[in-house]
Amino acid sequence: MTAVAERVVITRPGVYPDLTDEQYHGDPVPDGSLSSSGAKLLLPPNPPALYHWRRRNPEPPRAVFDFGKAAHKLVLGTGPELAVVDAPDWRTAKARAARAAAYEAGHVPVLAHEHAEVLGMADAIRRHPVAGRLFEPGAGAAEQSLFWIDDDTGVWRRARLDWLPHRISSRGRLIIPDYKTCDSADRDAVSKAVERYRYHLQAAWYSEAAQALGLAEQVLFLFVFQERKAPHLIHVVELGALALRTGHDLSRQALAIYAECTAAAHWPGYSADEIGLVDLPPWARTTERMTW
Amino acid sequence: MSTTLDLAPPAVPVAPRISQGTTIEQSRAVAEVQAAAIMARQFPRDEQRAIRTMQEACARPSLAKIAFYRYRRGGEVVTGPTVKLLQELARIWGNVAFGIHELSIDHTVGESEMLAYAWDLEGNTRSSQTTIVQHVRDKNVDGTKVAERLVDRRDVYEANTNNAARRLREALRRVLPGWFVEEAEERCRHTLENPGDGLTLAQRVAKVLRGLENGFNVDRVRAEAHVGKPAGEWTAWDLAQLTITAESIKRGDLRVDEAFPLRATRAEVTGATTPAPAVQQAAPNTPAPVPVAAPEQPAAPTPAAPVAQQPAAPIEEPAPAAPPAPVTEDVPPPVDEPPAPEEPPARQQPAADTRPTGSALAATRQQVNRLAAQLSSLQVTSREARLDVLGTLIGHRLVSSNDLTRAEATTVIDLLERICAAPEPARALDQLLVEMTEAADTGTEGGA
Repeated sequence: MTAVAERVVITRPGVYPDLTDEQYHGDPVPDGSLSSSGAKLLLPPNPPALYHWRRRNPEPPRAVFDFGKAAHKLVLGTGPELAVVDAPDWRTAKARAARAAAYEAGHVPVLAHEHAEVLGMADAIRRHPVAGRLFEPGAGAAEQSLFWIDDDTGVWRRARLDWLPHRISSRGRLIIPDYKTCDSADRDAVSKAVERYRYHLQAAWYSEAAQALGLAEQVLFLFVFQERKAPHLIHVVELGALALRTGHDLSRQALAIYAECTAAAHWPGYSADEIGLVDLPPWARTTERMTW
Repeated sequence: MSTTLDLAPPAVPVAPRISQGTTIEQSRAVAEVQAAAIMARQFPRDEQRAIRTMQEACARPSLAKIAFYRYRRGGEVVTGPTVKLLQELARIWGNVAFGIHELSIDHTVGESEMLAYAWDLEGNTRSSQTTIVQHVRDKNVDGTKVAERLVDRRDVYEANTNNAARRLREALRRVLPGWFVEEAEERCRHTLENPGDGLTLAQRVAKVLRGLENGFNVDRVRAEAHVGKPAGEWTAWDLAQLTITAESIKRGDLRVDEAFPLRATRAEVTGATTPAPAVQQAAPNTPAPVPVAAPEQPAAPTPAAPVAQQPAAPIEEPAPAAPPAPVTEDVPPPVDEPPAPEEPPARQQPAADTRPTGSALAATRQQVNRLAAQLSSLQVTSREARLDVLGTLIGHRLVSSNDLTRAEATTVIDLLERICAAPEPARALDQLLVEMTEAADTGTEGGA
């Protein structure tokens, strides 16, 4: 990698405006810190061993993520350089070589048609009356890294906000928007995505970050969902009380697991002490009975 | 791997130790039950009287107010008569024995066995339920459960009674005649709608709005969103519902932001904004134990330094001699600068210590002035000495007062305030400094 990021060490809670993706994801806290994606990995049904392994063996880049990264770059105006590869797909050796070279250089590879799409997406965001304001250049700073210590567990926590606004709303709230690309941004799909990817945990986590660091007493966390396909419709949503409460509970749960495993220096996998008993899921049981 | 524990023979049940007092209590309870049943036959309830008493009781706002519960489960609102109402009804109905008992409590395993029962002594209908109460606190309504183990005896006691009370509610509902309870609910609702306080509806609406504002910091807009129509159109029924909601919040069944969510609006996003959040605070440096827990920002909307770039230039007050030569860390990330001396070696890799940057981090001019004044009163007068003392108190070295963050300044000002109030301030400071230095030393060793 050319952009050999300078290794940084973070020993003080605060907002760090200039960390690169790599530095942030590399966890610059000497004794380790927990991010919201780490928390998701730690929570049941996953055994803690998975998180423990994954943090030392980051996943290789994936095309879906590259697309998301490219969209983030153009919408937020920061992030690694895009390397546009003039090919219809990644099947040819030439395209794959270009992709490898892009990774090598620390860039994000995108296909030409994807790039055109991403440009369209960024444009749609700019023109959207709400999303455009949320990510208005100059009204906030993109990709801000927050580090703080959890009061209850003493665990270092970190969060990387897509956007940290400079100002608070007329209702005294710090509005933190988070940008997500998706296939469908309709209510139902968004609701399922929130549950599946535990976006409610992220919302809670980031709100806690802003509050812990004294950025604001009240935080309004908004998700800006945008469809990948034209016309790149945008749906700005806030989460309901139940989702947020559950999100906060999940974050507490993850912190407790993290603190416990760290203290014991033991990250258990699935139980080896007992042989698990597994049956069909409830829906399949019903089917079974009907066809029997 | 199996251990001897795994192979141990199944534990033989051991009879619990029963005291003489318990034995006496057991026979007394048997006798009491027999007596109660006989008494119930001899003095049957007067249903007409019970109905009249119930009607009078339910006409009292004090009972009506606590007659209903409401909470959210899986996004739905669950509501019904509270155990308090049902207990009152059981008392009025007469010849109903009810209660909760702690059958056993095991602090090691962390569970208790509770019994809730209601018994119509006349009709001989009895409903009882034993329940095992885990000594944990569920921090969730539904879905994912986050169980927190209860250690405090008082917490355990409360968890037990709360759980049992819920069972008691069900037991009482089964034993009391349905029509009796329904009429009582109806009357309580009526009382809530017409509390007979001599106020007009408009006055009561105003009163409720004031109550919400003062009690829960819920403004009119949120209250109207909750009810679903403007306050001018609220009915007595709406007010009754609000009362139930408010009581549920007070009991902790419902949270304010759940009952009255502050919905985001386009206007809020696109509308006017106020200067800036006090952009941040960064707490003291390095390994030391969490120093003075997350300081509450003194005042939320500090006008000071917006996020703009120009430093809020904390003054280098008197600063007689040499302007600080060393570069402050506020400027871009130092490239190959070795970590500050006190820093633990941290990782093997060469590491540049990144500090939070941005002018807003810096302590305000007022704070710096204040600190200077406090330190002067403690006979710490020279610039070096001041920086040295401050550095010790916050746990990292200061090159200039520019390095001091707002949060650190707040913490230290509070600390010095207390020291100044001590009988011998200078000595108190010396002692604190010695303690802090020692703590920092051990902290560094331990943190590596």
